Amino acid sequence: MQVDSSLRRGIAIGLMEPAQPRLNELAEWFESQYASLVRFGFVLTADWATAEDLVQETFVRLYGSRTQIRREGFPAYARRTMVNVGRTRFRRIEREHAAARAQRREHAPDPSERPGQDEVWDAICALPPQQRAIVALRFYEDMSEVDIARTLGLSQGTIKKQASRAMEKLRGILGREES
Amino acid sequence: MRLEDRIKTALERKLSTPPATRGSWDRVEQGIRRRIRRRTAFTGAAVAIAVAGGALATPRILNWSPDLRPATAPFAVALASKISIEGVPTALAINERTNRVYVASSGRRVVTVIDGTTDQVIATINLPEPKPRTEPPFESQAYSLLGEIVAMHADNVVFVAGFDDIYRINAADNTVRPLNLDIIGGQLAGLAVDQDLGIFYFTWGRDIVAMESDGTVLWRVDSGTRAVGLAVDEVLHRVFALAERGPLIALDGITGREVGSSKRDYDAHPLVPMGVDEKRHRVYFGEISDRIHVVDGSTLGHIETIEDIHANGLHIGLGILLVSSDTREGFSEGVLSGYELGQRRPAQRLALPSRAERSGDAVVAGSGLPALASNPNTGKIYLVSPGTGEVFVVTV
Repeated sequence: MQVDSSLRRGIAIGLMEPAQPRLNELAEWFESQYASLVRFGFVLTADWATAEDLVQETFVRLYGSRTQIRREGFPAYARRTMVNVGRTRFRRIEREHAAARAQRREHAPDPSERPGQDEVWDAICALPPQQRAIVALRFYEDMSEVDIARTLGLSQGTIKKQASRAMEKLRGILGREES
Repeated sequence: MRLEDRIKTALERKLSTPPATRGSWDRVEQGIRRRIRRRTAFTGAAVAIAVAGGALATPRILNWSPDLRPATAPFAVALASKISIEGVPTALAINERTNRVYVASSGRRVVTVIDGTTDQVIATINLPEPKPRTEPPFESQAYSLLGEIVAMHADNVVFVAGFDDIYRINAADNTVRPLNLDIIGGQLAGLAVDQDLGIFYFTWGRDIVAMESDGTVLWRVDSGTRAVGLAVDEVLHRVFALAERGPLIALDGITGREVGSSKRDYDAHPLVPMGVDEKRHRVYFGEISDRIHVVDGSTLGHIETIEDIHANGLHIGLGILLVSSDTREGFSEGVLSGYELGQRRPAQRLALPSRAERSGDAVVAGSGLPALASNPNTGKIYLVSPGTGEVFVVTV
C-alpha cells in the first residue's frame, strides 16, 4: 500500500484543498490588519520576528477555527487568538527576555539611547502576558475597559483587576529604578 | 511625567519601527495546507485505498468536514508482520515525523527502537533499574513495569513511565535522563501529548502535570481525585483525566484550569485505555466491566456505551476506533477490533495469536494486547504482545 502516493493523489484531486472563499477572506484581512497585529504581537513577545511568526500562526489557527468570524469582530478575535497561541511560547520568550535585560544592565549603556528610555519598556516586558496585552490595548490602542474585555474574552472585572495589578507592578519597578 | 504618559511614550517609540519585511501570506497558506494534510491524512489514504483496491462495498461517510469532500471507503485490517522484542513489551509509541516506533519492555526495562520503514529493530535503549523497595503491597515486579510511553514528534523526544519514575529519552542520540520529580506515593497512571502545543502531560495520584519537551514543568494541579488515565484533544487543547470510580475531568491544556467534569461517574481502572476523536470531540475509554464509554469532549455529556468488549488497549487512528482485547474463551488469542467512528457496529475484527507460555517473565501474562498505536503516514498499526514478546504490524 503506497500511502505517500495516495496522499499526493488526494491532494491532486482537490480532496485536501482548503476552502477558497475562506482563504480569500483571510488573505484580505491579513493584508489590512497585518501591521497592527504585528505591533500587538511585539508587545506580547518583545521580538519582531517572533511577533511575525505569531501573527502567521494565528491566521493558520483562524482558518481552522470553528467559530464564524465576522469582519467587524475580526480584529478583536485575532488579538484574542494571538494571546492564546502565544501563551505557550511566553514562558520561553520571557526567560530569553529576562536574560537580555540582565545582560543590558551588566554592559555599558548604548550611547545612542537616551538614559531612562528603555526602563519603561523593560518594565512592561516583565509583566505577565495577559497584563502586557491589557497595557498594549489600553495605552497603545486606546481601548476602553469594555473593549479590552470584549477583545480578550474576559470579564470587565478581570480586566480592571489585572490592569490595576499591572500598574502597581510598573510603579514598583520604575519607582525602584528611579530611587 | 505621569506613569501613564511614560507608558504611552515608551510604546509609541518602540512600536514606531516595525520590521522592514512584510509578512508573507504564502507562508500562512502553506501552514493552512500543512495543517489540513496532517489532520486528514487518513481521509486521503482511505479514498486512495478504495480506488486502488477497487472496493465494491457500499460507501460510507468517514471524517466529514465542511472544508473537505467526504471520503468513502470501507476498511480491512490484516497482519503484515511480527517483530521480536527484548523483554516483555508492554507499551509503545510512534514518532510520525521520524517514522520510528518505540516499544517499552517491562522486566528488562528496555526501550526498543524500530524503523517504521523496514520494521526492523535498529536500537535498544537500557533504562536504569528502579530503586529497591521493601514497602508493601506491591511485589518487586510491579516496580519494573514500564506502563506507558509517548513520543513528541517535533522535538524528537520520548517519555517513558515506570511505576513511579519517568525517563526522558533524547531520540536523536538515544540518551536517557530520569526526571527528578517530587513523586510521593501512588502510581503513574497516564501519559499524553498535545503535539500541536508541544506539551507532555502525565498524572499520578491526584496530581496532573504539564511539561515542556525539555522537562520544564509548565503547571501542576491537584485534580481533587485520583486520576487513572489521561487523553488530550489537540484541537480543543483539553486534557481529559479519568478519576478512579469517579467522573471524567476536563482541564485547559495551556493553563491547567479545570473547565468541567462529567455528571456521571465511571468505574475505571489504573492505566485505563483512553482515546480522543478530535474531529467529533469525543472521548473514548474502557471500563472494567467490559464496556467502552463515549463522552462528548465539549460538554462532558455521556453519549453512548459500547457493550461486551473489554479494552486492553484503545486507540483512535487512521479514522478508526481501534480496540485490542482478548477472546474470553480460554484467553487463547488477542483480538483487534475496528469501529467506524460515529458508528457502533464493529467494522472489522482480526484475531492475533498472542498467547505463549512465558514462565520466566512473570510481569505480564496472558494474551492481552495492552497497547497499540498507528502512523497515519504509513497506514500501519502496531500492537504489543507481551505473551509472545512481539510487536504485531497490522495494515489497513
